[in-house]
Amino acid sequence: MGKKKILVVDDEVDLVKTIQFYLELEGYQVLASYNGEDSLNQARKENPDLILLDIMLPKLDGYKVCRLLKFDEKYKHIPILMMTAKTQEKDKLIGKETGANEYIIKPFDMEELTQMIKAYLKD
Amino acid sequence: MQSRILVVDDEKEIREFLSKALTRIAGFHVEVAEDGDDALKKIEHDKLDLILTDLKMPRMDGLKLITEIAKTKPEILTVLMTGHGTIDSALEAMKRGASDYLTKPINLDELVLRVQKVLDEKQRFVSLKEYISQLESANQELKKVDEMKSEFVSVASHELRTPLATIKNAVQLVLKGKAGEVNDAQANFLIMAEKNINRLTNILNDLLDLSKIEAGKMGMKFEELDLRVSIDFVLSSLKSQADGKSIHLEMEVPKDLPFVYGDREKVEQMLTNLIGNAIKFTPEGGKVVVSARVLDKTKNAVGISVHDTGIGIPEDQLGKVFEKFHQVERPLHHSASGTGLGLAITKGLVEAHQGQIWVESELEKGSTFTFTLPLSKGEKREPHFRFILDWEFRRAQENHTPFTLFLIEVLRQMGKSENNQLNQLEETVKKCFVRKGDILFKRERDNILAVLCEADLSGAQVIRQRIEGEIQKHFMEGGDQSVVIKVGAATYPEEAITKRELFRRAKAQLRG
Repeated sequence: MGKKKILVVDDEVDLVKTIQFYLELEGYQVLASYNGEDSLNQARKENPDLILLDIMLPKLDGYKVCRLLKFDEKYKHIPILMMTAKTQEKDKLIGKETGANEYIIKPFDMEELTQMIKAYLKD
Repeated sequence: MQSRILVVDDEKEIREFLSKALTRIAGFHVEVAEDGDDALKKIEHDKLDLILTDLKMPRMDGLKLITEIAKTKPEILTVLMTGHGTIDSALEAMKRGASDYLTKPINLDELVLRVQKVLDEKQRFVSLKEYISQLESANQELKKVDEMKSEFVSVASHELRTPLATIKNAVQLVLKGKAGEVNDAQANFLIMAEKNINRLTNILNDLLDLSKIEAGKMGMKFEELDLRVSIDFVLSSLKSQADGKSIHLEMEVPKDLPFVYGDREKVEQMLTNLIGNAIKFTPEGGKVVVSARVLDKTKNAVGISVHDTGIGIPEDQLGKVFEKFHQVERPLHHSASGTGLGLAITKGLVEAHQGQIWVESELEKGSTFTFTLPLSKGEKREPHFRFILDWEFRRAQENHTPFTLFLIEVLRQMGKSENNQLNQLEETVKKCFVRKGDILFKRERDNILAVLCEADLSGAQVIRQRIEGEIQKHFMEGGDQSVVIKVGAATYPEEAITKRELFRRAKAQLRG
């Protein structure tokens, strides 16, 4: 069985690097994307097993990316974990409509995030 | 500024007499007009403060003039002069907007006094209005600044979180040896860094909470709450902290304490703040007691007290502890790591629940913080399903045990509803859950049985087969087509790691 593929999307390059480093050590293949439009293209092309998605993204925000994938029969099975720097209820509600599976508030604990990812990627 | 007055009278002598009197005695600037029409023309061209008019005049009389002015130039004051015995006209004039009236024969002193008084009142009114509008615009300005402040705090907290996330990840990577071996000294410094990242995160959270409370934008989700569950949860989450200082935690809550009405997350935040503080300011070997009871006085609220055997708060600081950024002065060794916002937030949250909070304290003996929460309107009932789910889910998370939620739904076919089907189903399903700790919950409203049990994924599959077998045996044999029973299940942590996901997953299978 090949490595599971995770797409990490955030415009903070350094943050993506740390997550990538961590997840690769955990044995995952990690794809990185730094804006909404590119992440959508990558998701459609690579069909990852899970997506870590920031909300505030250039070009196309995370809500829209999530909605576009979750309303597409071909991709709606992909678990999407939203990363957000906001804690307001309102944001969570908008997120709910998009069909995201989880919300993680920055800063998060890599260990906990890894546990969460593992739970979603278990066969 | 000299007041400008227009005297309107059809008799030339009277006009001139009044004009002279008002100019000489009171120093007004006086214009004259011989009737209503003439007066209206003068008003158009001259900026006037007050019109003193006779009642009976040819063409337009005094009443009409007053009415007209009240309509078109309300800023000009009017005073009517009436003859003896025409008091009704005077009252009518007042109704239509005149400020005052005088009866003939005119007493000059009285005339000047009345006119002056009317003008003064107007002046006071004008300055009051100006003052009010100044206050209003100042208030607008303040509101704008306050909104900007809230916005700033929100944006700042947001902008700070992302870099903080990167720093936290980087530190954790190195600390956990993922980027190469770390010696003890290095690890110690990294732990220090990590601790302070967490502290900074807490400060950001507190600041954001406080700004939301102050702006009245704290979203509240009120529901019926079993305080025993919340208190127990908070106590167990703070247990290791208390154990570290050998502090004994106690809970004194009557078993039959009625439900309160509150936002669970916020109530637990208040409890965490107060109990956490109590632990922080209590020396080793001390005691923290959390108690709750219905208040005797009103019987419509519950008082929750957190009592400690700590260092106490000096009397002169008791009133200040709920202020923002206030930290009671204390000896150095009680190094406080708080943000100084905890109690201010707690107070704001209590107030958002229509409650009150206060503190009693004695130096070196201890402190007692008490807050109130409104009683739920409903009677004491069996704990709500959600509470049980919450409770069990948390227990599973803390003890790292698996946990499965079953939802079993009776779908009645049209027109063939029997009320005892759910009871029948309950009896049937019970056989599959015989272990201690399995919790069966009936929701008659939507014909669902919910079962919580400590089972992992493979265990859950076995149980599911048994349930389906029993249902087949008791409901489907004999070709009864009137009942459809569906089973949904989800297991923590294999299939879902949040409560919401667990519930959603189980529920989705009922629809399938």
